[in-house]
Amino acid sequence: MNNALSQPAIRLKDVSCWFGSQEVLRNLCVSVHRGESLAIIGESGCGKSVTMKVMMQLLTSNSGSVFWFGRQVDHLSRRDQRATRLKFGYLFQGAALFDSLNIFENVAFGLRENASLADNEIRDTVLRRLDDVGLSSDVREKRPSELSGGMQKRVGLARALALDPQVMFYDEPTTGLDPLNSRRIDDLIDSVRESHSVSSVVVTHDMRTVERVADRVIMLAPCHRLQTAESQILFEGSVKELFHTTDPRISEFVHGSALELSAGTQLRHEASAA
Amino acid sequence: MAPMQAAAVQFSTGIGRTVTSLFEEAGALAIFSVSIFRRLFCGLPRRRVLVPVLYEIGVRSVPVVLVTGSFIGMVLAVQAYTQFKLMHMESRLGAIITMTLVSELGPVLAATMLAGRVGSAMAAELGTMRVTEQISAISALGSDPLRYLVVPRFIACVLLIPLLAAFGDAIGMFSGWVFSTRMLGVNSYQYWSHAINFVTAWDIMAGLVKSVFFGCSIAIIACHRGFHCGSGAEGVGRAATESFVLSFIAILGLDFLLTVLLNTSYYLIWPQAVSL
Repeated sequence: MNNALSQPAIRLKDVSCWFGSQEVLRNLCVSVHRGESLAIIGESGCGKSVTMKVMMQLLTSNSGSVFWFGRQVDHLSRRDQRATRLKFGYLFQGAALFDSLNIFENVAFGLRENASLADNEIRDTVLRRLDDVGLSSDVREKRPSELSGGMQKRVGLARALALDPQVMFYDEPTTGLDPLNSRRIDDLIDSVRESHSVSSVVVTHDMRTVERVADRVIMLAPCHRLQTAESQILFEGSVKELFHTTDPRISEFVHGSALELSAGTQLRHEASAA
Repeated sequence: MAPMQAAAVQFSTGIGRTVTSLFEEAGALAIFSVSIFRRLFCGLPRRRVLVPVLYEIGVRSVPVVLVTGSFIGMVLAVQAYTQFKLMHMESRLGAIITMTLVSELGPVLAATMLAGRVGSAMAAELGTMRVTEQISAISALGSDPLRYLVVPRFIACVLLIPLLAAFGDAIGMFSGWVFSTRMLGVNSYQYWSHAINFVTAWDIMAGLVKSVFFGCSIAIIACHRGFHCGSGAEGVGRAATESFVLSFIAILGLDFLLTVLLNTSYYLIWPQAVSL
């Protein structure tokens, strides 16, 4: 029991992945420890989202092993895999809400499919989760298309949280959102982690999100830029170390993103002063 | 390498690639079909999932089948009347209209219409769900996308396409009768008398059996195309088109095979039966 608890929540061991002839992940080894918040950064096409999907087995790797709570996924039966997957929540980049269902049914989906709960228990849980993400119960009858991008993300988060996950995956949670909504989503990621004691894996380009939510950061490089024996992980360490690194490949990405953000902030200050 | 040789190599490589991809497609479709059948034995989908699909595929297809069936019946009456009149056999119009509808045209045309209306819609819907990661979301929420999305559609197609074909047959017979008796002056009693004498229970059963297979093929092809559609709007559009084209080819191919098989079975069971 103690041994199981000491294992990382998720571990990738020598995972490689190709799409056709395109190599996306090369011998990747990553662990997500219990209770930590891990940010995965890197330029577009470096395999951040694929890494997260392989972690949750929404994509199958071509080689290597994936461990969930110390158990190798390949050795689990299909039923066990599904049962363990319920311990994970996933917030998709575009929220991936079901168009054909209203907001209430979207949030209730996992509960209806997996938990044998009475209708009133499902209703209570859904309303509680909507409240957790700052949405009133008025939205429950609406269709996803009637909500803004930020609200859709929050519904997606409520849906992911409905089954009380132990690990939350966030795929570019602030992409396409205005600064106010980005801030709100970052705060939610932080509060979810504190209130539900979950581990978080956040894939993002947004350095502000990294600063706000991450304990540890991994930066990936695209495989086509790597030398034969080079590791795909360019950087692994704390947020502070990331911002003080001297490796030009990392600092260019980090400070480039940070400069864009500060330029935006300065413009906003100038506009408000004017 | 000489230009002729290079062209020959290129040509044969192209043929090889096409054949390989055809086998790959057929294999993928077979694996997909087996996955659906395996899930069918693990229990029926929930009512709240199945009923909307039954409604969408069954009830909302009624107008299309109604219109198609009516026109087929009338067209058959017009075409057959001209030929039969030359032989002074116009009183037998009921037999040819009913027989053609029940055993051949009814099931094939109903299935073709439904491949267009239902199959393309299913492929586009599932394709959009694939592109917008809704299918991944179903997996992420601990559910099985095949069981949740494909099995209800498969059941609905297999159950309802034969019913819709039977409905189309009935409408076609009715419209053929109305047109023959009111516009072409055929005697109503003779129309039905010949229809009843000529068409056997076997013919009706053969038509329905064909419809079951057509329903299976439409559901499997449409869901497979949707599930494996390419990215973006282009991918969804292509999935919908491919679904219709492949379903149509499958319907015609199955129709030929099943007609041969059913006719052979008929004469094996009743060797004394006289072919008309």
